[in-house]
Amino acid sequence: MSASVEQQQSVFVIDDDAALREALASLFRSIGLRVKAFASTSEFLQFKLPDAPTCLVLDVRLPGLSGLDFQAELAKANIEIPIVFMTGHGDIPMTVRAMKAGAVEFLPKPFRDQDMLDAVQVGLERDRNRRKGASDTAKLKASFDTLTLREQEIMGLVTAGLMNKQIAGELGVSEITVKVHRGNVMRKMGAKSLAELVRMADALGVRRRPPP
Amino acid sequence: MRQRSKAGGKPAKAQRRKTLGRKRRNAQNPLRRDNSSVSGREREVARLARELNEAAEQQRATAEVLRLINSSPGDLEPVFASTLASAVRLCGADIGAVHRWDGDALHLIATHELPAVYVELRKQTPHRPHQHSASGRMLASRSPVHIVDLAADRAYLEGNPSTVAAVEIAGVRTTLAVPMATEKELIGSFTVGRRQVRPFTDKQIAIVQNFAAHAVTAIENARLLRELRESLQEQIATSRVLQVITGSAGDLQAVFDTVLENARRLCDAEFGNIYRWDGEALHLIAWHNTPAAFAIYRRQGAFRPSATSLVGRMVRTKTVVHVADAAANPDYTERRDPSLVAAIELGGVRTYLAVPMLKEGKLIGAITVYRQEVRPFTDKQIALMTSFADQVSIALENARLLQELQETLQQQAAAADILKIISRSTFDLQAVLDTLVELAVRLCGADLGAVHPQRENFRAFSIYGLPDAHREVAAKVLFAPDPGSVMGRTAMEGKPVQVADVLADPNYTLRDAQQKLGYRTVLGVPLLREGRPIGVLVMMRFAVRPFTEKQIELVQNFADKAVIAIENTRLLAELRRRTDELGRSVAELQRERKNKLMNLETMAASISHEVRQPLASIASNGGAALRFLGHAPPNLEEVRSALNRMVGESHRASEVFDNIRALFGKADQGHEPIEVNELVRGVLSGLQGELEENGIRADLDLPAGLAPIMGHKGQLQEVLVNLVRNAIEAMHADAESRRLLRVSTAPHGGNKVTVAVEDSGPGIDPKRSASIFDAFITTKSHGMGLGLALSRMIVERHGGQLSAAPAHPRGSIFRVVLPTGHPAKESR
Repeated sequence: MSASVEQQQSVFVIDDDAALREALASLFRSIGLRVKAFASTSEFLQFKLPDAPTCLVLDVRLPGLSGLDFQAELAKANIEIPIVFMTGHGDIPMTVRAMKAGAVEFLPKPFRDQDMLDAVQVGLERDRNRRKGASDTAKLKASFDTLTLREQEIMGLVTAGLMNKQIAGELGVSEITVKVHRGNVMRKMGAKSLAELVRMADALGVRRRPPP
Repeated sequence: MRQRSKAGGKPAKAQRRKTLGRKRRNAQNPLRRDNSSVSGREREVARLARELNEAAEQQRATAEVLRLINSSPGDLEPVFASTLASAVRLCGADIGAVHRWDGDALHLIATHELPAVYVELRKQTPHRPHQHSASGRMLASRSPVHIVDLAADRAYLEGNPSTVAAVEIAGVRTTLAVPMATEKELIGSFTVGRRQVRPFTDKQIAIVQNFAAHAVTAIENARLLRELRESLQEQIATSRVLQVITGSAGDLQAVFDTVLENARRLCDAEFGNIYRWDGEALHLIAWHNTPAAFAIYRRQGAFRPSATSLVGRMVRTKTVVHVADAAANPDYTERRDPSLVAAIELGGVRTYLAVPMLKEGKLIGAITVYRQEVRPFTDKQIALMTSFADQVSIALENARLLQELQETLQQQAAAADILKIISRSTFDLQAVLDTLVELAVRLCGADLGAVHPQRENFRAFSIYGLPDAHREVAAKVLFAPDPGSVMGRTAMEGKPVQVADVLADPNYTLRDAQQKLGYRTVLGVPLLREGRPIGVLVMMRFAVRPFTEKQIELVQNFADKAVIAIENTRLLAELRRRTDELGRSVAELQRERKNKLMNLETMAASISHEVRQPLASIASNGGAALRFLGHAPPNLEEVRSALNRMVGESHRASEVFDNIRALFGKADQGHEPIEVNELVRGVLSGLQGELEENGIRADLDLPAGLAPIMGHKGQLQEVLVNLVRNAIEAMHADAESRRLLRVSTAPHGGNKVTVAVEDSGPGIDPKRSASIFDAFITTKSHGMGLGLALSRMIVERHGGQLSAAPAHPRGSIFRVVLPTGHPAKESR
């Protein structure tokens, strides 16, 4: 990862207690993280998230909506952001629920400053990996888009495990034609083997159902 | 006799064997003696022949007499006639007579060849013989008297009528009177006579004596036989009666019938009656062959014999009364005693016998037998009747014992039934009293019955014996402890009260009920608890028929059981009430204890929660400051501001303690009169910003004139702020147009005030409504549980209550009820 990308990563804090907001902001700044603090979830939602790894530090008790409910709402809205929960009196069922829903950590107040920093680092790392995975798929998609419709079709059939002859029969073309298209697919997708092409097809979700 | 005939008939043969035995020699002696002259021998033969004839005839006569005696036991007339005839013939007399001696006079019982005129004469008057007459002398000497010529006798010469009659009418001249006597007594005379003067020989006298002895034997035999027969008959009758008594199992009628039938037969009476004595009168309970008119007369009314009457004497003396001729009694002749007049004129009674029936010396009745002619009963018959009376007494006693046994058994069964019901765990007073009344009615022969418990205001609680339609009537009748009703009198007097006929009672006022239900005899028995009536058990009869002592006792017994049942119910109810109370106070104690614990927990949780927030800030700021110091160069600006914040947060933490101490530490010092409406207005104006921010409309209903409450203003403020904030939170999910907060105050009861905070939110999940006040139970997104627990604690410390309920059409309503005036110790 380049330094520029590192510097772009940010931590968001939502807590209705201004003093704690400021304390946390200061703590994150002290290790060079970008911080943005909000008094409520609605304020947060109005903010445009950067295209960079992020982590959210959230109080379970919030006016209006509980932290856990907000977590569920974010997931529903397809906003994928790692969450570190803080709680004044967390109980086990609440913790379990948050962790199941993908929370990074569940920290009871008062927490050790290092625990908070570690949790946030884990969150940022997790977000970084998620973002990287998302960009690889985007590249594959771009390559796939360069294929002709017939080549895309043949990629789906080849990766389903069909022989050239079978594909020819299926499409009503000659076996030679299938071989040519297949070569184009391997080249355009940059696949060195059939196995790699199968993985790509899986990632793209274009692999046909294997014949019975 | 045989020897004689051999000697007479075959002399030659006897001669040839003269060396033979002594007998033969002896037999030859008369012949040898009379050989002296033929004429002497002939005379001797004639004499012997005559003797032989006489002896034979005597034998025959005796045999005949004995045969007669044996063949006709008891019927002596033919025996005497035959004996007399034989005697007259054998002793060459012409006439004869047999008399029975009764100690006073001679009674003619058999005659032979006496003129009818003479016999008639004799039968008309008892024959009391002249002391110088033959019979008179015989009676005096107890030995045969032989008068050669009665016409020359002194009695005749002195003109003794019976002697004159004997001589002149019967033509008696020579007469022989032989006494008939047993070892003990003279029982009669046996007389033979001749119409010419010719003395009886000794032999003839002996013959007459012999026949007289036969007659005595016959009489004795007859007497013994009669006695035997009588005693047999009596024994048979007695055993028959006893059989009936044993077999009848309380069927007295069968016993009476048997006794009367036997009594009538054995006493040779026309008819017989059995009476029961009730202490005042005789009641005809059985009769046999009694003329219908007489029986009906006796049945119609009680037979109260006058003290002077003979039956009255029997009642008084408890001894047998034997009346030879009832018609001779002045009670009849002067018509003083109607019952006697009835007996004579309706029953044709002349001779009668009344035998008392006694039990342990007390008169219980009488048995009577009647003859429609004047003919007294014999001692034997009287003895027999006494025995019958005893037997009837025994039968009556048996029947009484049997009935008592049955009653006792019935009562025991009834008591067992009732005790069974009483002891049931699911105790149903109605069922018990219903059963009690039913059994009481049935066992004491009443028609209606009811229990009137005092606790039901003496209304009929259990009624038996009425169709449903009439039960209404009975149940509606209002009773009061007054003399207007038997029930009332019983309740007043506290002891059984009986009115034989309520119609005849001028003080009886329940005319309406009486008319509808139709009862006449009423018995009231009190249900007594510790001597005080707690109700009345009433028994009624449609007929005028008072309850007996025994029945009253029985009803009292049932009343006692009813008291037990009612007492049990009362005790059971009390036990239940006490148990409930105990349970409630235990629950209260438990809740109080739980509350105290909860209050502690609530306080601890509240404090720690409030302190966690600044502590978290301090820790974060500290961490930040340390890291900024580690920067190269150290970012002192950041360090300073972090340290400043730490100082601020430290103060904040200590404020938490100050606040808590202010709220709960010195609670009493903060107590002051509070106008609830003012408090509400203050809290709402403080929260005005939050309400507007959330687009919530507030609707206040604060009527004037509420009494002020005493309390800690700060604490109560906190409570209201908490409730309003809860309401704001609850409406967060609502559309803004619908968000409505209602706060109202109102007086509650006489000395309390209610503050209600209502929201229009989704309301409390019914599953959690019971636990919303527990610490740490989060019902809303913002974790309001802690606030509610604290709020309730504060309200309860003020002696009030905090409760939650669903509002209509939606939302929740929280109510705070606080006492007005000084809450005193509750504030601690």
